[in-house]
Amino acid sequence: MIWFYYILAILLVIISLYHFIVARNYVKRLIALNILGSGVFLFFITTAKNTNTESPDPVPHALVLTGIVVAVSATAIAVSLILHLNKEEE
Amino acid sequence: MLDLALGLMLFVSALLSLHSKDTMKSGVFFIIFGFLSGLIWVRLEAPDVALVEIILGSAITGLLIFKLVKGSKQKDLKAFTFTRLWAGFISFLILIFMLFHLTTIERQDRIASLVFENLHKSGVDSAVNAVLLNFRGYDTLLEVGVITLAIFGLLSLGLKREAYYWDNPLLKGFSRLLLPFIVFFSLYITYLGTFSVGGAFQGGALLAGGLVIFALAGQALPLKASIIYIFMMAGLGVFSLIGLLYALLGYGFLTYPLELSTISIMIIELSIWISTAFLLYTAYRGKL
Amino acid sequence: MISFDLGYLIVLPLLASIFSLISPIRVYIALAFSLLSFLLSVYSFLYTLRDNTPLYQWIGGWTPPLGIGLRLDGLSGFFLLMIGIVSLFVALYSISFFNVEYKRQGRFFWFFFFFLWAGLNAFFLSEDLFNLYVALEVLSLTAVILVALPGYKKAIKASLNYLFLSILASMFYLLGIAMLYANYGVLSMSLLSQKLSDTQEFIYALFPITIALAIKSALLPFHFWLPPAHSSTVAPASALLSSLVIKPPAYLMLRLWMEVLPKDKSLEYLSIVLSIMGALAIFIGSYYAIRQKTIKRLLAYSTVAQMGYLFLMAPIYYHGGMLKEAVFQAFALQVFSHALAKASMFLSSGNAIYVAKRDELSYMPGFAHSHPFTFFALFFSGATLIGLPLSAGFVAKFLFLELSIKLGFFLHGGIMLLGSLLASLYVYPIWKECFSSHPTKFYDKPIPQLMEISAFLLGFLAFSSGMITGFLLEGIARR
Repeated sequence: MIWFYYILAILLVIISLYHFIVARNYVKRLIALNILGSGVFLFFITTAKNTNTESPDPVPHALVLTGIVVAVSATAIAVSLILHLNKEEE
Repeated sequence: MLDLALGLMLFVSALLSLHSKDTMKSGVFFIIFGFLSGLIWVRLEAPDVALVEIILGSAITGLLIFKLVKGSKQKDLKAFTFTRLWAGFISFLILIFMLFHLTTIERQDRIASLVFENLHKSGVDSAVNAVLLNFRGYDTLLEVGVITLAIFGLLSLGLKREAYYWDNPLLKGFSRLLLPFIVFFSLYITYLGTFSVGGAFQGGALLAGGLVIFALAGQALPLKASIIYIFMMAGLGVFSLIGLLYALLGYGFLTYPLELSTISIMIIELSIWISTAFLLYTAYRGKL
Repeated sequence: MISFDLGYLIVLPLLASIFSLISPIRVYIALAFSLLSFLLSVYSFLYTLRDNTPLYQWIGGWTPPLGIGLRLDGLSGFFLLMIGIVSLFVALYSISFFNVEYKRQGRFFWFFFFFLWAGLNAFFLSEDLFNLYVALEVLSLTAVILVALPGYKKAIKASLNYLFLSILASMFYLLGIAMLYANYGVLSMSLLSQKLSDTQEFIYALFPITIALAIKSALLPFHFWLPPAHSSTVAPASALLSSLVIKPPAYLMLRLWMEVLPKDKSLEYLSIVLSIMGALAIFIGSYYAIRQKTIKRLLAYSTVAQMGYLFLMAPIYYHGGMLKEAVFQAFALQVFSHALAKASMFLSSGNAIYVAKRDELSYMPGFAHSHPFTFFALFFSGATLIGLPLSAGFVAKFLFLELSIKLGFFLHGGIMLLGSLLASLYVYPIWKECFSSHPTKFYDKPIPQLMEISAFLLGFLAFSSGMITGFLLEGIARR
């Protein structure tokens, strides 16, 4: 099952990278970046499961928590900047 | 089997979110994607991450993106064929690269056993929170810094736009009724973090969700702007003051002595709880 | 007696950012904390001169791999000094700047200023890869907000593009760390360097990490975000971005190559690719800088070119394992001289724009007569960018040249000298305008003294520190 999740993580990274480059729209780019982030987090969490210990490795979990909070912060800035830009254009 | 189904659904929702021409549709599928990834974290035995992902990654980010979709009229133009070829090539290259990397990963212990060995010296019983607030507490200090920074950053832009709200008496009454429960439940989750699943970010995100529902019904909190300001600063301020205090006392920066570690972590958790909630609430409102 | 703790270097600016936002006596708080943080930087620098062994501090008393380590050695101490000097002078400048212009932005500027300082200190002290990610994120988000600070459309657009690329780069970096963690199970750089020897799996992780660092430090195919971002914001913010924020990724690359990664054939190929990109960055950056008509865009393209040097020398990082101290010295001095000089130039451009309200080069005629301090700031810092003898830039280039001859990379040395020549071609128009003795209109509106003097002192330090490089680099040499 671990390998299935690893491959899923990689596929998420790849498709969102493709769409990030291709998209001409800020909203789509933002969504692509968030999905890319989820792919990376999935990679981390799968690695956490990939141990010999009984319960999964808590370190990647903590790192991913940090990562999610950072990603949400960046998204909040991006949303506010895009709204600002749209207002300037009106 | 369940894993397979969930994974496929996750992948399809990601594809639909990225492919659809309509940004509204993208937003909807993105929220579904966030929810499904939360379920996958549960399957992978990461309930803490699942909690944060469903509230933060799915609900709050989803709301932010909806706010964006409503306020932006930009069309999604089709990219040039050259760009698409180029993007496809790069993505394919990285795909091959990462597939090769997969063959090198081995099952090993990494830091896990070390964490469990030292858990009793950390002041909390939950392994994830021990890493988050004690072993790697410095990361968390900077992380609280990042989120504080981001929200004050968007305040500094001075965007004066009315927050979107839904004028519905039912929602109004419901959100008012719900808020006290959410406050207590989120506090409980924060408290749970010391020995089980839960923690400051989880609780804070939950409270932020409650506050956002409150705001969605078109109501403002009966708090002065200056108090909200202080709540927003609390996490960073308290965390760095405690770090500084221990350095001045000679224990070393962010180094809690064993007998004081539980109480220090409790104080830090409470301050992160309140400031995460109000920061995310402000992020949604876009103003104080 | 309170003992010295590396945590002070991070906590004090963080607290300063909070106080400067909530207190009404913002300027005094800013001044006091800038001085305090500056003194701490100087103290840590002097510490590295006094002590031969690097200072390691395990936060929380947890040794890696469990905890996070901070490390103060010659190289990081030197960079702390650089951050201290540049930030202090930018702070002095900003006190005056936000008093006369952009008053609304001045309310928030100090918050981001101190956050940036904390992030920079955290980055140069950290030796944990994930911690570096968080510090990098602090830096990039602050930088994005500083770009958007003026609030007009051009700035917002530039900052949005910067933000998107920056998030992409951060995600790539995180992916690289995830791959490293999957293979080796540690995040600390010193432990990683032990685990990495005689293995090859790290090559896969190096790929996303290198892309991420290249995006963040505006290496050639990814340089397009830099000129709009650095040129469209207010002068003190431009100075901080162009002189400090851009440097950490390059520093991390140097650390990884010299101290963590083992010798491997594929690394050698990668170093060649990086050095080609660096060389192209020098040429293309300089070409565009020469063609610019506005001073801020000129300076921004010049940053692209100057960052090129750091990547041009990638083969030296790979082959120079025996001459590690010499490589560190050359790198550190190149970064130092560029940081001081570029900060001084951006501050002076702020002066020029304050006088003329326009940022075209032709709107600063006769500055040598009307504003000698600003002119001398531009003169000294320009001389450092070119690398005229006696300046710090000269010594840095000399050290690099010596290394490239020793290790047999004559072409790289030649390209670097050519880059110097190109630099003189884009610095020259600035000087020429200053000397123009028959201006059509004389711009002699007085500039607030603090603004002139802080810009001048930075430029003067950039130039004259070439004469005390022995003292400055001693900490690195004696490791």
